[in-house]
Amino acid sequence: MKRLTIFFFCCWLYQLSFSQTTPGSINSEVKVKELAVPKAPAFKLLDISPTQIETPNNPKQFALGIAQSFNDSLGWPRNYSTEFAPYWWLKSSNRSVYDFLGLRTQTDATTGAKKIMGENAFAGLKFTSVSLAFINQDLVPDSIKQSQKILSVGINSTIIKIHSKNYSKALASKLQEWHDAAQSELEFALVGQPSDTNVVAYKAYWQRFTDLKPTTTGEIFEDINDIMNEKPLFSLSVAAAYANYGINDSVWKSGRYGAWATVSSYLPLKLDNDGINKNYFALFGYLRLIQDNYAPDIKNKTIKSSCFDIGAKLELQFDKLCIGYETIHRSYSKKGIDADNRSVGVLSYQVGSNLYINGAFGKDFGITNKLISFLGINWGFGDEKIKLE
Amino acid sequence: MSSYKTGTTSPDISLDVDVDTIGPTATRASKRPTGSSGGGTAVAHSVDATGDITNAHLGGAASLIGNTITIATSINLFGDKEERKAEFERISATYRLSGGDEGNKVFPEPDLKLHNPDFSKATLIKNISLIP
Repeated sequence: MKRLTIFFFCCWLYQLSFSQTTPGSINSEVKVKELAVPKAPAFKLLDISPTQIETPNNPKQFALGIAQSFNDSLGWPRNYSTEFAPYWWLKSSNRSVYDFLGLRTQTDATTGAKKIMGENAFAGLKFTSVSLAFINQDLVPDSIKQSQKILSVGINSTIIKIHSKNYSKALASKLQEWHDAAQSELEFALVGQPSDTNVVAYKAYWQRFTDLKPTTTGEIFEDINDIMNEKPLFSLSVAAAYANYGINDSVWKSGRYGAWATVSSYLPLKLDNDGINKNYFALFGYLRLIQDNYAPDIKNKTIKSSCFDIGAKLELQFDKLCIGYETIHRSYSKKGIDADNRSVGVLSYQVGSNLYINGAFGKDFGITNKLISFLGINWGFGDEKIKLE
Repeated sequence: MSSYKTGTTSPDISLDVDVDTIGPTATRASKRPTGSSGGGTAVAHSVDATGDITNAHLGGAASLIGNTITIATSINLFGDKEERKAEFERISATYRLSGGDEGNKVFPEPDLKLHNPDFSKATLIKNISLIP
């Protein structure tokens, strides 16, 4: 009965979401989250969502990917998109879990062990990623329907990321705990190992050890993952992208370029004492500049146009409930187009692991006072996971 | 199997292990008579989650000859399965023995590099026989 009630409630919300808004009317306008620094700015700049993005693990794979997508008749790669962080291409003996987690270390002269000195605020820089797209598309709004060769390049980086003081201490403590537990597991395994004269049996023994999921190190590793998920007190991320258009075989012109910046701050609300904070007062600031040298005007003529968005968002995040307010101010370079604003209150509640109720109300972009009133449900598929960035 | 000539009079043979990975890592080394099974005596271990062992003194040549050093490394990997798989491919380890008749000898890779089905755990194994 309870499930039936929830089902009908969801159906009512779904119907409500359509009855109060025109489908797409909100999505057609820029929302504050769309101002956030994109992961792959080269694609975002061109408004493309490639179905297949290559992620080469080394320069050889990168070169091979471009070579394989090369189209002889076009003399240009056929819709190839890739995204990678050069950090992963480098072989370095300095790579370690401490370096990866952004912890500053010193070697203890007595024990030789790493001593955690704090957090490296600039650790995110090393994960700077590059996105690159070769596409064939008609992005020049003239009367000639002909695709252009387009090369778009972008970079994305987290310049600064600072967590609470407890972040590095908690990670250091859990890493040492994990190490000591893993030592006990290895000691046990080494004592039981068979003779290495029988290569097959010897390999099978260590494969069984590898397949085991011991609770001790497993639980500590989960704790390390939880600490890694702690949101930063302050972070600054930036991205930039540039697209060049091949107007014909010999003439290349600057098509679009864009820049993004996001500043965010998560201030923990100590409503629980279980160690991992899930409640925050969050503040975000967004800047976005897009210049399009081939934008259509009202008369379908090609003009140079740019728009500048500045946005801010305040949010109270209580684990599953999120209440916020966002505002965007947009201005255009073209004379005669007035600046515009959007100010909206937003609400989100996580009903289940992949089920959310979302709501928004306030003033949307528009010449007149266009109001938003929106309540709907959202199903998400797939698990949330930690990304290596 | 890899081998290292300790000589017969060298007073101190040392071991260095350098593991290159972003996952938390632990390394432990033990010795046992070559060809035997089980048992073994711990001779060195890492002291932090880098899994590295720096200049660990294993003992004099006389106490090591005829033994095999087994160096076992355990690693947990971060990220989703694709990221873990990619990181597993990147894992490398170098082993160096010094102080014996062969001087500094570098062993550039493990004998076994294993992963569990979901790539959340990896194990590296290196065996080095110590000969006079």
